[in-house]
Amino acid sequence: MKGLLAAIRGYLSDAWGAWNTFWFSPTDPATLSMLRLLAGGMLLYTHLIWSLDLSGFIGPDGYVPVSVLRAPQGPDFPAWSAWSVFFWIKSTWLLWVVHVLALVVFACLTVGFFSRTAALLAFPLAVSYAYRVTPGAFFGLDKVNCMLALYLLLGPCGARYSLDRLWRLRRGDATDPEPSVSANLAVRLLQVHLCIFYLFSGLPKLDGSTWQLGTALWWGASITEYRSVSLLWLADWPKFAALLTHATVFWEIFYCCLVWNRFTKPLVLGMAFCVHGGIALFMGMITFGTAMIIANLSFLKPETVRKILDPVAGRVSLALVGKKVS
Amino acid sequence: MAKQSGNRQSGEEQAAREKPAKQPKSPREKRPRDPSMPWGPWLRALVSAAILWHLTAVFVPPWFLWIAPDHKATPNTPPGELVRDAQGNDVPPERWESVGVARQWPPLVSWLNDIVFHYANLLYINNGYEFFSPNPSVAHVVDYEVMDDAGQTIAEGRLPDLRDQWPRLFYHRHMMLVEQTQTPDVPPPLRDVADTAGEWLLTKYGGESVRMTLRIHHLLTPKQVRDGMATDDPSTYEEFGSFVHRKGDVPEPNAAAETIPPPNTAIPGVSP
Repeated sequence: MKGLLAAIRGYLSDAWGAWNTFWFSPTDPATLSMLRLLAGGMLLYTHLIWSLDLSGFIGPDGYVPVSVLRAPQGPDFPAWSAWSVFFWIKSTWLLWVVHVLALVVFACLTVGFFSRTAALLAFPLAVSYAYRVTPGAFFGLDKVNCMLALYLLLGPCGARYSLDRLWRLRRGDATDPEPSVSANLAVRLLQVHLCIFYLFSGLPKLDGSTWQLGTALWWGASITEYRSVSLLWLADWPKFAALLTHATVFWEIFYCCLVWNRFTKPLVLGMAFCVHGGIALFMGMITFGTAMIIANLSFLKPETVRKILDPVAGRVSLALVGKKVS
Repeated sequence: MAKQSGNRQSGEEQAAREKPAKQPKSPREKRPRDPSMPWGPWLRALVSAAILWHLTAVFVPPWFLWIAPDHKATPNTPPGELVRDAQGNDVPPERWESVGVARQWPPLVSWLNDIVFHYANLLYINNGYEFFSPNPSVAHVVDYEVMDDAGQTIAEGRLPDLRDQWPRLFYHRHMMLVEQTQTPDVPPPLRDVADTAGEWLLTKYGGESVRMTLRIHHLLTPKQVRDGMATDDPSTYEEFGSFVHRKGDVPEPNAAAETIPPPNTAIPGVSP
Protein backbone atom coordinates (compact mmCIF):
# COMPACT_ATOMS: atom_id res chain seq x y z
CA MET A 1 0.00 0.00 0.00
CA LYS A 2 2.84 2.36 0.95
CA GLY A 3 4.55 1.54 -2.34
CA LEU A 4 1.39 2.33 -4.26
CA LEU A 5 0.95 5.66 -2.46
CA ALA A 6 4.59 6.52 -3.13
CA ALA A 7 4.15 5.68 -6.79
CA ILE A 8 1.02 7.87 -7.03
CA ARG A 9 2.79 10.68 -5.19
CA GLY A 10 5.78 10.31 -7.52
CA TYR A 11 3.53 10.36 -10.57
CA LEU A 12 1.68 13.49 -9.41
CA SER A 13 4.94 15.20 -8.57
CA ASP A 14 6.37 14.36 -11.99
CA ALA A 15 3.16 15.50 -13.71
CA TRP A 16 3.18 18.82 -11.80
CA GLY A 17 6.85 19.25 -12.72
CA ALA A 18 6.14 18.57 -16.39
CA TRP A 19 3.14 20.94 -16.30
CA ASN A 20 5.31 23.66 -14.78
CA THR A 21 8.08 23.13 -17.31
CA PHE A 22 5.58 23.26 -20.18
CA TRP A 23 3.77 26.43 -19.12
CA PHE A 24 6.09 28.35 -16.79
CA SER A 25 9.65 27.98 -18.10
CA PRO A 26 11.05 31.33 -19.18
CA THR A 27 11.76 31.46 -22.89
CA ASP A 28 13.38 33.87 -25.29
CA PRO A 29 10.62 36.12 -26.68
CA ALA A 30 11.90 35.64 -30.25
CA THR A 31 9.01 33.37 -31.34
CA LEU A 32 6.36 35.66 -29.86
CA SER A 33 8.03 38.71 -31.42
CA MET A 34 8.10 37.02 -34.83
CA LEU A 35 4.41 36.15 -34.45
CA ARG A 36 3.68 39.82 -33.64
CA LEU A 37 5.46 40.97 -36.77
CA LEU A 38 3.61 38.53 -39.05
CA ALA A 39 0.20 38.51 -37.38
CA GLY A 40 0.26 42.31 -37.08
CA GLY A 41 0.88 42.52 -40.83
CA MET A 42 -2.00 40.14 -41.46
CA LEU A 43 -4.32 42.15 -39.20
CA LEU A 44 -3.32 45.36 -40.95
CA TYR A 45 -3.94 43.96 -44.43
CA THR A 46 -7.21 42.24 -43.49
CA HIS A 47 -8.68 45.42 -42.05
CA LEU A 48 -7.25 47.68 -44.73
CA ILE A 49 -9.39 45.77 -47.24
CA TRP A 50 -12.58 46.81 -45.40
CA SER A 51 -11.74 50.37 -46.52
CA LEU A 52 -12.83 49.43 -50.05
CA ASP A 53 -16.46 49.27 -48.89
CA LEU A 54 -16.43 50.26 -45.24
CA SER A 55 -20.03 51.49 -45.11
CA GLY A 56 -21.29 48.44 -47.00
CA PHE A 57 -19.78 45.86 -44.67
CA ILE A 58 -19.11 47.63 -41.38
CA GLY A 59 -21.45 50.64 -41.46
CA PRO A 60 -24.72 50.59 -39.49
CA ASP A 61 -26.94 50.25 -42.59
CA GLY A 62 -24.76 48.18 -44.91
CA TYR A 63 -25.51 44.86 -46.58
CA VAL A 64 -26.42 43.37 -43.19
CA PRO A 65 -27.59 46.25 -40.96
CA VAL A 66 -26.64 46.15 -37.29
CA SER A 67 -30.32 45.99 -36.28
CA VAL A 68 -30.89 42.87 -38.41
CA LEU A 69 -27.62 41.29 -37.29
CA ARG A 70 -28.46 41.66 -33.61
CA ALA A 71 -32.12 40.70 -33.87
CA PRO A 72 -31.54 36.93 -33.37
CA GLN A 73 -29.72 37.65 -30.12
CA GLY A 74 -32.99 38.87 -28.61
CA PRO A 75 -33.65 41.71 -26.15
CA ASP A 76 -32.40 39.77 -23.11
CA PHE A 77 -28.99 39.03 -24.58
CA PRO A 78 -26.37 41.07 -22.65
CA ALA A 79 -24.75 43.63 -24.94
CA TRP A 80 -21.32 43.13 -23.37
CA SER A 81 -21.19 39.43 -24.21
CA ALA A 82 -20.75 39.65 -27.98
CA TRP A 83 -19.42 43.13 -28.25
CA SER A 84 -18.46 45.35 -31.16
CA VAL A 85 -17.71 49.06 -31.14
CA PHE A 86 -19.48 49.19 -34.50
CA PHE A 87 -22.81 48.26 -32.92
CA TRP A 88 -22.95 51.78 -31.49
CA ILE A 89 -21.50 53.86 -34.32
CA LYS A 90 -24.20 55.61 -36.34
CA SER A 91 -22.39 58.21 -38.43
CA THR A 92 -20.09 57.64 -41.38
CA TRP A 93 -17.42 60.10 -40.24
CA LEU A 94 -17.11 58.39 -36.85
CA LEU A 95 -16.96 55.04 -38.58
CA TRP A 96 -13.99 56.25 -40.61
CA VAL A 97 -12.28 57.80 -37.58
CA VAL A 98 -12.47 54.51 -35.67
CA HIS A 99 -11.38 52.59 -38.77
CA VAL A 100 -8.31 54.78 -39.33
CA LEU A 101 -7.39 54.55 -35.63
CA ALA A 102 -7.72 50.77 -35.85
CA LEU A 103 -5.41 50.69 -38.86
CA VAL A 104 -2.88 52.81 -36.95
CA VAL A 105 -3.05 50.33 -34.04
CA PHE A 106 -2.51 47.37 -36.37
CA ALA A 107 0.39 49.20 -38.05
CA CYS A 108 1.97 49.92 -34.63
CA LEU A 109 1.60 46.25 -33.72
CA THR A 110 3.28 45.19 -36.96
CA VAL A 111 6.34 47.41 -36.58
CA GLY A 112 6.43 46.99 -32.81
CA PHE A 113 5.85 50.60 -31.80
CA PHE A 114 4.41 50.72 -28.26
CA SER A 115 3.94 47.00 -28.82
CA ARG A 116 2.23 46.04 -25.55
CA THR A 117 -0.29 48.88 -25.81
CA ALA A 118 -0.88 48.14 -29.48
CA ALA A 119 -1.45 44.45 -28.70
CA LEU A 120 -3.84 45.36 -25.91
CA LEU A 121 -5.88 47.53 -28.31
CA ALA A 122 -5.57 45.31 -31.38
CA PHE A 123 -7.46 42.39 -29.87
CA PRO A 124 -10.74 44.18 -28.98
CA LEU A 125 -10.59 45.99 -32.31
CA ALA A 126 -10.16 42.75 -34.28
CA VAL A 127 -13.05 41.20 -32.33
CA SER A 128 -15.18 44.28 -33.02
CA TYR A 129 -14.75 43.89 -36.77
CA ALA A 130 -15.33 40.16 -36.56
CA TYR A 131 -18.61 40.50 -34.64
CA ARG A 132 -19.81 43.19 -37.03
CA VAL A 133 -19.65 40.69 -39.90
CA THR A 134 -20.70 37.53 -38.01
CA PRO A 135 -22.70 36.34 -39.78
CA GLY A 136 -22.45 38.34 -42.93
CA ALA A 137 -18.99 38.17 -44.38
CA PHE A 138 -16.78 36.52 -41.79
CA PHE A 139 -14.77 33.38 -42.44
CA GLY A 140 -11.86 31.40 -41.02
CA LEU A 141 -9.45 34.31 -41.44
CA ASP A 142 -11.28 36.34 -38.78
CA LYS A 143 -11.13 33.44 -36.35
CA VAL A 144 -7.38 33.02 -36.85
CA ASN A 145 -6.70 36.77 -36.68
CA CYS A 146 -8.56 37.07 -33.37
CA MET A 147 -6.82 33.98 -32.01
CA LEU A 148 -3.38 35.40 -32.84
CA ALA A 149 -4.26 38.85 -31.46
CA LEU A 150 -5.54 37.30 -28.22
CA TYR A 151 -2.27 35.57 -27.36
CA LEU A 152 0.00 38.40 -28.51
CA LEU A 153 -1.35 40.61 -25.74
CA LEU A 154 -0.26 38.14 -23.05
CA GLY A 155 3.50 38.44 -23.51
CA PRO A 156 6.35 40.83 -24.39
CA CYS A 157 5.61 40.70 -28.11
CA GLY A 158 7.76 43.75 -28.87
CA ALA A 159 10.90 42.50 -27.15
CA ARG A 160 12.57 41.70 -30.49
CA TYR A 161 12.15 42.74 -34.13
CA SER A 162 10.43 45.96 -33.14
CA LEU A 163 10.83 49.72 -33.15
CA ASP A 164 10.59 49.53 -29.36
CA ARG A 165 13.82 47.51 -29.33
CA LEU A 166 15.53 49.95 -31.69
CA TRP A 167 14.39 52.85 -29.51
CA ARG A 168 15.98 51.21 -26.46
CA LEU A 169 19.15 50.59 -28.46
CA ARG A 170 19.28 54.21 -29.55
CA ARG A 171 19.03 55.29 -25.89
CA GLY A 172 22.03 53.11 -25.13
CA ASP A 173 20.26 50.06 -23.75
CA ALA A 174 21.87 47.25 -25.73
CA THR A 175 20.97 44.47 -23.31
CA ASP A 176 19.45 41.32 -24.74
CA PRO A 177 15.77 40.76 -23.83
CA GLU A 178 15.38 38.57 -20.76
CA PRO A 179 13.81 35.12 -21.11
CA SER A 180 10.18 35.53 -20.17
CA VAL A 181 7.54 33.26 -18.60
CA SER A 182 4.68 35.22 -20.15
CA ALA A 183 6.24 34.83 -23.62
CA ASN A 184 6.25 31.08 -23.09
CA LEU A 185 2.70 31.12 -21.73
CA ALA A 186 1.39 33.09 -24.72
CA VAL A 187 3.06 30.80 -27.27
CA ARG A 188 1.96 27.63 -25.42
CA LEU A 189 -1.66 28.80 -25.28
CA LEU A 190 -1.58 29.53 -29.00
CA GLN A 191 -0.10 26.09 -29.71
CA VAL A 192 -2.77 24.27 -27.68
CA HIS A 193 -5.53 26.42 -29.17
CA LEU A 194 -4.25 25.49 -32.62
CA CYS A 195 -4.41 21.80 -31.70
CA ILE A 196 -8.07 22.19 -30.68
CA PHE A 197 -8.69 24.17 -33.87
CA TYR A 198 -7.45 21.30 -36.04
CA LEU A 199 -9.18 18.61 -33.98
CA PHE A 200 -12.58 20.22 -34.48
CA SER A 201 -11.79 20.91 -38.09
CA GLY A 202 -11.09 17.20 -38.64
CA LEU A 203 -13.76 15.49 -36.52
CA PRO A 204 -16.83 16.99 -38.29
CA LYS A 205 -15.38 15.80 -41.59
CA LEU A 206 -15.94 12.23 -40.39
CA ASP A 207 -19.69 12.96 -40.69
CA GLY A 208 -19.40 13.78 -44.39
CA SER A 209 -19.85 11.14 -47.07
CA THR A 210 -17.43 12.87 -49.45
CA TRP A 211 -14.67 12.88 -46.81
CA GLN A 212 -15.36 9.20 -46.10
CA LEU A 213 -15.27 8.32 -49.81
CA GLY A 214 -12.20 10.43 -50.52
CA THR A 215 -13.91 12.70 -53.06
CA ALA A 216 -14.15 15.86 -50.90
CA LEU A 217 -10.96 17.35 -52.31
CA TRP A 218 -12.31 17.00 -55.82
CA TRP A 219 -15.60 18.73 -54.92
CA GLY A 220 -13.74 21.50 -53.12
CA ALA A 221 -11.42 22.00 -56.07
CA SER A 222 -14.30 22.06 -58.53
CA ILE A 223 -16.05 25.04 -56.90
CA THR A 224 -15.46 27.73 -59.51
CA GLU A 225 -16.01 30.58 -57.05
CA TYR A 226 -13.06 29.46 -54.92
CA ARG A 227 -10.66 28.47 -57.67
CA SER A 228 -7.58 30.56 -58.42
CA VAL A 229 -5.37 27.88 -60.00
CA SER A 230 -7.15 24.95 -61.61
CA LEU A 231 -7.02 21.54 -59.99
CA LEU A 232 -9.43 20.03 -62.52
CA TRP A 233 -6.66 17.67 -63.69
CA LEU A 234 -7.53 15.70 -60.54
CA ALA A 235 -10.48 14.35 -62.55
CA ASP A 236 -7.95 11.99 -64.17
CA TRP A 237 -6.35 11.07 -60.84
CA PRO A 238 -9.18 9.94 -58.52
CA LYS A 239 -6.92 7.80 -56.31
CA PHE A 240 -4.51 10.68 -55.81
CA ALA A 241 -7.40 13.01 -54.95
CA ALA A 242 -8.66 10.41 -52.46
CA LEU A 243 -5.19 10.07 -50.91
CA LEU A 244 -5.01 13.83 -50.36
CA THR A 245 -8.54 13.87 -48.91
CA HIS A 246 -7.86 11.07 -46.41
CA ALA A 247 -4.44 12.50 -45.53
CA THR A 248 -6.06 15.85 -44.73
CA VAL A 249 -8.55 14.28 -42.32
CA PHE A 250 -5.91 12.14 -40.58
CA TRP A 251 -3.55 15.08 -40.32
CA GLU A 252 -6.19 17.38 -38.83
CA ILE A 253 -7.39 14.88 -36.25
CA PHE A 254 -3.94 13.69 -35.15
CA TYR A 255 -2.20 17.07 -35.31
CA CYS A 256 -2.84 17.54 -31.58
CA CYS A 257 -0.81 14.38 -30.78
CA LEU A 258 1.89 14.33 -33.42
CA VAL A 259 3.01 17.96 -33.29
CA TRP A 260 4.61 17.48 -29.85
CA ASN A 261 6.87 14.61 -30.84
CA ARG A 262 10.27 15.71 -32.14
CA PHE A 263 10.27 13.08 -34.91
CA THR A 264 6.75 13.72 -36.21
CA LYS A 265 6.71 17.49 -35.63
CA PRO A 266 8.58 18.37 -38.87
CA LEU A 267 6.21 16.15 -40.85
CA VAL A 268 3.11 17.65 -39.25
CA LEU A 269 4.32 21.22 -39.76
CA GLY A 270 5.43 20.37 -43.32
CA MET A 271 1.94 19.06 -44.01
CA ALA A 272 0.47 22.26 -42.53
CA PHE A 273 2.63 24.29 -44.91
CA CYS A 274 1.46 22.17 -47.88
CA VAL A 275 -2.24 22.18 -46.95
CA HIS A 276 -2.47 25.90 -46.20
CA GLY A 277 -0.14 26.79 -49.03
CA GLY A 278 -2.44 24.75 -51.28
CA ILE A 279 -5.51 26.55 -49.96
CA ALA A 280 -3.79 29.87 -50.61
CA LEU A 281 -2.56 28.94 -54.07
CA PHE A 282 -5.38 26.87 -55.51
CA MET A 283 -8.48 28.04 -53.64
CA GLY A 284 -7.77 31.76 -53.64
CA MET A 285 -7.77 32.10 -49.86
CA ILE A 286 -4.30 33.58 -49.71
CA THR A 287 -4.90 35.46 -46.48
CA PHE A 288 -6.47 32.53 -44.63
CA GLY A 289 -3.76 30.13 -45.79
CA THR A 290 -1.03 32.57 -44.75
CA ALA A 291 -2.64 33.26 -41.36
CA MET A 292 -2.77 29.53 -40.63
CA ILE A 293 0.90 29.15 -41.60
CA ILE A 294 1.73 32.04 -39.24
CA ALA A 295 -0.13 30.26 -36.42
CA ASN A 296 1.84 27.08 -37.15
CA LEU A 297 5.11 29.02 -36.86
CA SER A 298 4.39 29.21 -33.13
CA PHE A 299 5.97 25.74 -32.96
CA LEU A 300 9.36 27.11 -34.07
CA LYS A 301 11.92 27.22 -31.29
CA PRO A 302 13.25 30.69 -30.38
CA GLU A 303 16.75 29.59 -31.42
CA THR A 304 15.48 28.70 -34.90
CA VAL A 305 13.64 32.00 -35.17
CA ARG A 306 16.73 33.92 -34.11
CA LYS A 307 18.92 32.06 -36.59
CA ILE A 308 16.61 33.19 -39.39
CA LEU A 309 15.58 36.69 -38.29
CA ASP A 310 18.50 38.05 -36.27
CA PRO A 311 20.75 38.72 -39.30
CA VAL A 312 17.91 40.70 -40.93
CA ALA A 313 17.14 42.54 -37.66
CA GLY A 314 20.87 43.35 -37.31
CA ARG A 315 20.99 44.95 -40.75
CA VAL A 316 17.79 46.93 -40.13
CA SER A 317 19.05 48.27 -36.81
CA LEU A 318 22.41 49.18 -38.34
CA ALA A 319 20.62 51.13 -41.06
CA LEU A 320 18.17 52.87 -38.73
CA VAL A 321 20.12 53.59 -35.54
CA GLY A 322 23.71 52.93 -36.59
CA LYS A 323 24.15 50.09 -34.08
CA LYS A 324 23.76 46.41 -34.65
CA VAL A 325 21.18 44.75 -32.45
CA SER A 326 22.53 41.62 -30.77
CA MET B 1 -10.35 15.12 35.91
CA ALA B 2 -9.10 18.31 37.59
CA LYS B 3 -6.41 16.29 39.36
CA GLN B 4 -5.22 14.72 36.16
CA SER B 5 -5.02 18.16 34.61
CA GLY B 6 -3.04 19.46 37.57
CA ASN B 7 -0.57 16.58 37.30
CA ARG B 8 -0.08 17.17 33.60
CA GLN B 9 0.54 20.86 34.24
CA SER B 10 3.21 20.21 36.87
CA GLY B 11 4.88 17.66 34.61
CA GLU B 12 5.03 20.19 31.79
CA GLU B 13 6.50 22.82 34.09
CA GLN B 14 9.21 20.35 35.13
CA ALA B 15 9.97 19.50 31.51
CA ALA B 16 10.20 23.19 30.71
CA ARG B 17 12.63 23.71 33.57
CA GLU B 18 14.81 20.85 32.37
CA LYS B 19 14.86 22.15 28.80
CA PRO B 20 17.88 24.26 27.85
CA ALA B 21 17.17 27.95 27.34
CA LYS B 22 15.55 28.62 23.98
CA GLN B 23 17.89 30.10 21.40
CA PRO B 24 16.62 33.27 19.74
CA LYS B 25 15.17 32.48 16.31
CA SER B 26 17.45 33.30 13.42
CA PRO B 27 15.76 35.26 10.62
CA ARG B 28 13.91 32.81 8.41
CA GLU B 29 16.09 31.81 5.53
CA LYS B 30 14.41 32.04 2.14
CA ARG B 31 14.85 29.06 -0.09
CA PRO B 32 16.70 30.29 -3.20
CA ARG B 33 14.29 30.53 -6.12
CA ASP B 34 14.83 28.09 -8.95
CA PRO B 35 16.08 30.26 -11.85
CA SER B 36 14.34 27.97 -14.30
CA MET B 37 11.00 28.66 -12.57
CA PRO B 38 10.83 32.36 -11.68
CA TRP B 39 7.15 32.36 -10.74
CA GLY B 40 6.34 31.13 -7.22
CA PRO B 41 4.17 28.05 -6.61
CA TRP B 42 1.06 30.01 -5.61
CA LEU B 43 1.17 32.18 -8.70
CA ARG B 44 1.72 29.11 -10.85
CA ALA B 45 -1.23 27.34 -9.23
CA LEU B 46 -3.44 30.37 -9.82
CA VAL B 47 -2.39 30.75 -13.43
CA SER B 48 -2.78 26.99 -13.93
CA ALA B 49 -6.42 27.26 -12.87
CA ALA B 50 -6.88 30.14 -15.34
CA ILE B 51 -5.24 28.08 -18.11
CA LEU B 52 -7.58 25.14 -17.45
CA TRP B 53 -10.61 27.43 -17.50
CA HIS B 54 -9.50 29.13 -20.72
CA LEU B 55 -8.72 25.87 -22.51
CA THR B 56 -12.13 24.51 -21.49
CA ALA B 57 -13.67 27.60 -23.06
CA VAL B 58 -11.62 27.03 -26.22
CA PHE B 59 -12.57 23.35 -26.40
CA VAL B 60 -16.29 23.38 -25.62
CA PRO B 61 -17.85 25.71 -28.26
CA PRO B 62 -16.51 23.85 -31.33
CA TRP B 63 -17.47 20.56 -29.66
CA PHE B 64 -20.98 21.86 -29.02
CA LEU B 65 -21.33 23.33 -32.52
CA TRP B 66 -20.20 20.03 -34.03
CA ILE B 67 -22.70 17.84 -32.24
CA ALA B 68 -25.68 20.10 -31.60
CA PRO B 69 -26.43 22.41 -34.55
CA ASP B 70 -30.02 22.88 -35.71
CA HIS B 71 -29.66 20.65 -38.76
CA LYS B 72 -28.46 17.77 -36.56
CA ALA B 73 -31.29 18.09 -34.03
CA THR B 74 -32.14 14.77 -32.38
CA PRO B 75 -35.73 14.07 -31.29
CA ASN B 76 -36.38 12.83 -27.76
CA THR B 77 -37.49 9.41 -28.99
CA PRO B 78 -35.92 5.95 -28.89
CA PRO B 79 -32.96 5.54 -31.29
CA GLY B 80 -33.99 5.17 -34.90
CA GLU B 81 -37.61 6.20 -34.33
CA LEU B 82 -38.73 8.94 -36.69
CA VAL B 83 -41.03 11.80 -35.74
CA ARG B 84 -44.28 11.50 -37.70
CA ASP B 85 -47.62 13.24 -37.55
CA ALA B 86 -51.02 11.53 -37.40
CA GLN B 87 -50.96 11.07 -41.17
CA GLY B 88 -47.59 9.32 -41.00
CA ASN B 89 -45.63 12.18 -42.58
CA ASP B 90 -42.13 13.09 -41.37
CA VAL B 91 -42.16 16.13 -39.08
CA PRO B 92 -39.21 18.55 -39.43
CA PRO B 93 -37.38 19.65 -36.23
CA GLU B 94 -39.04 23.08 -36.09
CA ARG B 95 -42.47 21.33 -35.81
CA TRP B 96 -41.52 18.57 -33.35
CA GLU B 97 -43.08 20.40 -30.44
CA SER B 98 -46.42 20.54 -32.26
CA VAL B 99 -46.58 16.72 -32.12
CA GLY B 100 -45.33 16.57 -28.53
CA VAL B 101 -41.70 15.63 -29.22
CA ALA B 102 -38.91 17.66 -27.63
CA ARG B 103 -35.43 18.15 -28.98
CA GLN B 104 -32.57 16.39 -27.18
CA TRP B 105 -29.49 18.31 -26.11
CA PRO B 106 -26.20 16.63 -25.21
CA PRO B 107 -26.35 16.95 -21.40
CA LEU B 108 -22.67 17.43 -20.57
CA VAL B 109 -21.65 19.57 -23.53
CA SER B 110 -24.74 21.79 -23.23
CA TRP B 111 -24.01 22.33 -19.55
CA LEU B 112 -20.36 23.16 -20.22
CA ASN B 113 -21.37 25.42 -23.09
CA ASP B 114 -23.71 27.34 -20.80
CA ILE B 115 -20.87 27.81 -18.30
CA VAL B 116 -18.30 29.15 -20.75
CA PHE B 117 -20.85 30.92 -22.97
CA HIS B 118 -20.17 34.58 -22.14
CA TYR B 119 -16.42 34.14 -21.63
CA ALA B 120 -16.15 32.47 -25.05
CA ASN B 121 -18.29 35.22 -26.57
CA LEU B 122 -16.12 37.97 -25.14
CA LEU B 123 -12.93 36.50 -26.56
CA TYR B 124 -14.49 35.43 -29.88
CA ILE B 125 -13.47 31.85 -29.21
CA ASN B 126 -17.11 30.77 -29.56
CA ASN B 127 -16.51 29.33 -33.01
CA GLY B 128 -16.65 26.04 -34.79
CA TYR B 129 -13.85 25.19 -37.18
CA GLU B 130 -15.85 23.12 -39.64
CA PHE B 131 -14.29 24.12 -42.91
CA PHE B 132 -15.84 22.28 -45.86
CA SER B 133 -17.67 19.96 -43.50
CA PRO B 134 -19.56 17.81 -43.35
CA ASN B 135 -19.21 18.10 -47.16
CA PRO B 136 -18.09 20.74 -49.66
CA SER B 137 -21.23 22.19 -51.15
CA VAL B 138 -22.48 24.13 -54.15
CA ALA B 139 -21.79 27.84 -54.42
CA HIS B 140 -24.38 30.60 -54.77
CA VAL B 141 -24.26 33.81 -56.76
CA VAL B 142 -26.63 36.78 -56.80
CA ASP B 143 -27.18 38.76 -60.00
CA TYR B 144 -28.57 42.25 -59.40
CA GLU B 145 -30.00 44.94 -61.61
CA VAL B 146 -30.56 48.40 -60.13
CA MET B 147 -33.26 50.54 -61.77
CA ASP B 148 -34.24 54.21 -61.50
CA ASP B 149 -37.82 55.50 -61.03
CA ALA B 150 -38.45 55.17 -64.78
CA GLY B 151 -37.50 51.50 -64.66
CA GLN B 152 -34.26 52.05 -66.59
CA THR B 153 -31.27 49.95 -65.57
CA ILE B 154 -28.58 52.13 -64.02
CA ALA B 155 -26.28 49.43 -62.64
CA GLU B 156 -25.96 45.68 -62.75
CA GLY B 157 -23.54 43.18 -61.39
CA ARG B 158 -22.94 39.92 -59.59
CA LEU B 159 -22.05 39.00 -56.04
CA PRO B 160 -19.38 37.70 -55.96
CA ASP B 161 -17.55 38.69 -59.15
CA LEU B 162 -13.78 38.53 -59.58
CA ARG B 163 -13.88 41.20 -62.30
CA ASP B 164 -15.42 43.80 -59.96
CA GLN B 165 -14.11 42.82 -56.57
CA TRP B 166 -10.37 42.97 -56.17
CA PRO B 167 -8.13 42.09 -54.36
CA ARG B 168 -9.00 38.52 -53.65
CA LEU B 169 -9.90 39.08 -49.99
CA PHE B 170 -12.46 41.72 -51.01
CA TYR B 171 -13.97 39.24 -53.48
CA HIS B 172 -14.03 36.59 -50.77
CA ARG B 173 -15.95 38.88 -48.42
CA HIS B 174 -18.67 39.25 -51.07
CA MET B 175 -18.68 35.51 -51.57
CA MET B 176 -19.19 34.94 -47.85
CA LEU B 177 -21.95 37.55 -47.82
CA VAL B 178 -23.94 35.46 -50.29
CA GLU B 179 -23.07 32.08 -48.76
CA GLN B 180 -23.84 32.99 -45.15
CA THR B 181 -27.38 33.98 -45.94
CA GLN B 182 -28.08 30.66 -47.66
CA THR B 183 -27.28 28.11 -44.99
CA PRO B 184 -30.01 26.36 -42.98
CA ASP B 185 -28.28 27.42 -39.74
CA VAL B 186 -29.02 31.08 -40.39
CA PRO B 187 -32.09 32.24 -38.46
CA PRO B 188 -35.00 33.85 -40.37
CA PRO B 189 -34.22 37.58 -40.01
CA LEU B 190 -30.88 37.00 -41.65
CA ARG B 191 -32.42 34.84 -44.31
CA ASP B 192 -34.34 37.98 -45.28
CA VAL B 193 -31.07 39.78 -45.75
CA ALA B 194 -31.73 40.05 -49.48
CA ASP B 195 -34.02 42.98 -48.65
CA THR B 196 -31.40 44.79 -46.61
CA ALA B 197 -28.66 44.03 -49.14
CA GLY B 198 -31.00 45.31 -51.85
CA GLU B 199 -31.55 48.49 -49.86
CA TRP B 200 -27.80 48.96 -49.58
CA LEU B 201 -27.37 48.53 -53.35
CA LEU B 202 -30.06 51.19 -53.90
CA THR B 203 -28.23 53.56 -51.55
CA LYS B 204 -24.94 52.82 -53.29
CA TYR B 205 -26.18 53.37 -56.86
CA GLY B 206 -29.01 55.86 -56.16
CA GLY B 207 -31.74 53.61 -57.60
CA GLU B 208 -35.41 53.15 -56.84
CA SER B 209 -35.69 49.36 -57.19
CA VAL B 210 -33.41 46.40 -57.59
CA ARG B 211 -34.06 42.99 -59.08
CA MET B 212 -32.02 40.26 -57.41
CA THR B 213 -31.71 36.74 -58.76
CA LEU B 214 -30.20 33.98 -56.68
CA ARG B 215 -28.53 31.23 -58.66
CA ILE B 216 -27.08 27.95 -57.47
CA HIS B 217 -23.82 27.04 -59.15
CA HIS B 218 -23.76 23.26 -59.33
CA LEU B 219 -20.55 21.24 -59.23
CA LEU B 220 -19.38 18.83 -61.90
CA THR B 221 -18.40 15.22 -61.43
CA PRO B 222 -14.93 14.12 -62.58
CA LYS B 223 -16.58 12.31 -65.50
CA GLN B 224 -18.34 15.48 -66.68
CA VAL B 225 -15.02 17.34 -66.60
CA ARG B 226 -13.25 14.50 -68.43
CA ASP B 227 -16.00 14.69 -71.05
CA GLY B 228 -15.06 18.31 -71.66
CA MET B 229 -17.77 20.21 -69.81
CA ALA B 230 -16.68 23.59 -68.40
CA THR B 231 -17.31 24.28 -64.72
CA ASP B 232 -18.85 27.66 -65.59
CA ASP B 233 -21.05 26.25 -68.33
CA PRO B 234 -24.42 28.11 -68.31
CA SER B 235 -26.19 24.82 -67.61
CA THR B 236 -24.38 24.56 -64.26
CA TYR B 237 -26.29 27.63 -62.97
CA GLU B 238 -29.79 27.00 -61.70
CA GLU B 239 -32.06 29.95 -61.01
CA PHE B 240 -33.30 29.56 -57.46
CA GLY B 241 -35.48 32.63 -57.21
CA SER B 242 -35.83 36.24 -58.21
CA PHE B 243 -37.45 39.20 -56.50
CA VAL B 244 -37.69 42.96 -56.74
CA HIS B 245 -36.87 45.14 -53.76
CA ARG B 246 -38.16 48.72 -53.72
CA LYS B 247 -36.57 51.58 -51.83
CA GLY B 248 -37.58 51.74 -48.16
CA ASP B 249 -39.16 48.27 -48.20
CA VAL B 250 -37.04 46.93 -45.34
CA PRO B 251 -38.26 44.18 -42.96
CA GLU B 252 -38.93 45.13 -39.35
CA PRO B 253 -35.97 43.94 -37.28
CA ASN B 254 -38.20 43.43 -34.25
CA ALA B 255 -40.21 40.86 -36.18
CA ALA B 256 -37.38 38.51 -35.28
CA ALA B 257 -38.29 38.40 -31.60
CA GLU B 258 -39.99 35.02 -32.07
CA THR B 259 -36.79 33.53 -33.42
CA ILE B 260 -34.69 33.82 -30.27
CA PRO B 261 -32.91 30.51 -29.92
CA PRO B 262 -33.22 28.54 -26.68
CA PRO B 263 -30.73 29.50 -23.97
CA ASN B 264 -28.43 26.57 -24.50
CA THR B 265 -28.29 26.81 -28.25
CA ALA B 266 -25.22 27.74 -30.26
CA ILE B 267 -23.83 31.18 -29.64
CA PRO B 268 -26.27 33.71 -31.13
CA GLY B 269 -24.94 35.45 -34.16
CA VAL B 270 -22.22 32.91 -34.75
CA SER B 271 -22.41 30.03 -37.16
CA PRO B 272 -19.78 27.28 -37.36
